[in-house]
Amino acid sequence: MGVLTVNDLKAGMILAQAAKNKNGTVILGEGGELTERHINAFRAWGVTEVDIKGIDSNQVVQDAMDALSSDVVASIERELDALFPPFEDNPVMEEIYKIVKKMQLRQAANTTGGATDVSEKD
Amino acid sequence: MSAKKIDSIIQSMGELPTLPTIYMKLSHLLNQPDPSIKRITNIISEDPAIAAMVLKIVNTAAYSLRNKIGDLQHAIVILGLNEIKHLVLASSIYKIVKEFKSSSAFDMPEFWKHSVGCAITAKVLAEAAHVSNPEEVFTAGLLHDIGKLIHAGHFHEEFDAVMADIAETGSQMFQSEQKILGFDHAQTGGALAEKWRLPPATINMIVHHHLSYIPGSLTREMAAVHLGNSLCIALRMGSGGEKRVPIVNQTAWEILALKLSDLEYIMQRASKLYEESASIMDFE
Repeated sequence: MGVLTVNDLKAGMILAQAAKNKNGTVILGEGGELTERHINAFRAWGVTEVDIKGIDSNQVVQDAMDALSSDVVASIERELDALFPPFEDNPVMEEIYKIVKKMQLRQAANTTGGATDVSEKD
Repeated sequence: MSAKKIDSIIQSMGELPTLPTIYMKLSHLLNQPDPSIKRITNIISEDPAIAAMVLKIVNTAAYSLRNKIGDLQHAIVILGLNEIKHLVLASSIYKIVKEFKSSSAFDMPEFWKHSVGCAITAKVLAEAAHVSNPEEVFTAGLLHDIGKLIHAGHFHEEFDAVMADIAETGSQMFQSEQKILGFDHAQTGGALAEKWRLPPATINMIVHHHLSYIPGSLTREMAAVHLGNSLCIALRMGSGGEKRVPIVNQTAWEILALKLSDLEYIMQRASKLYEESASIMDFE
């Protein structure tokens, strides 16, 4: 199992844990199979991430990265290396770097239409 | 450099931005027992630009209210007196930044975006860490770099030299300022906030936002503004002139008692709220 953000969800995925909104109301229970309608409902209810069976969330980022051209990845890495000073032995900085990189790769993957094929209306 | 010296520099500058009179009147009224909502509304309405900005900020996603608030009195009733005071202060800062004459090297719209970005990110952090006064953290986030504005307005040559030094060495701005001016924007901002008679907690959040050392008085609010500043630079929300993401102080991180795995959600939420706050970011 792995926690995925709503943008990475696809129809057919199975929930490893119930998806709940802020107030704790269950939108789809454990073992439920996602449809496009569920994914849109998550967005509407402000559910930002859910736990999916049989998924490694790092693998999803890896897939998005693999789908991007090496030029795009290299240019994102170059920019981040210029933006971040050296931060040896600072786990917080390491985590921030990782997250920003993930967000940028995901954004690049979304704009080039590469890795995510979840069709979105409006 | 001592606080007294900074203070005398501030005093010698002559024309400094002042807080709008309605903020002073409001503070005065709120210090009295049982202030009437009607009178508070009247005072804020005296400055239509500020009244309009209060409503704009309240209605951004950062305030996560379910329904839009259309009038001031309603906003006061819903938010409460303390929060309305922070909002009037936030709106006043917008007015000051917008009307400030800057030196050419300083991009004011980008500076404002950075200020809003830090305010939102620090507030999201404060909420995630269950800090008791996220609105005060929001306002301090808006104000944290206000000293840069003073430097850009009053020390043109030195300011250009600071920008050149940052470009050349990759230092943080406060380090270049200490080298060139002998003091930094956190100290100047703190002195200005003191002159404005802002609460001590707010002044401390401004003065200590770099946390280049850990003061004995370190609070979780201070840690939230410090971390919010680094995160909003990492997320490229506007620019306050820094070239690189300031290293997060480990002690500040620990005092917030968050987990590393909380950061992704915090950063995504802050990005989303920032994008949804465009209405308070235009300079037109």
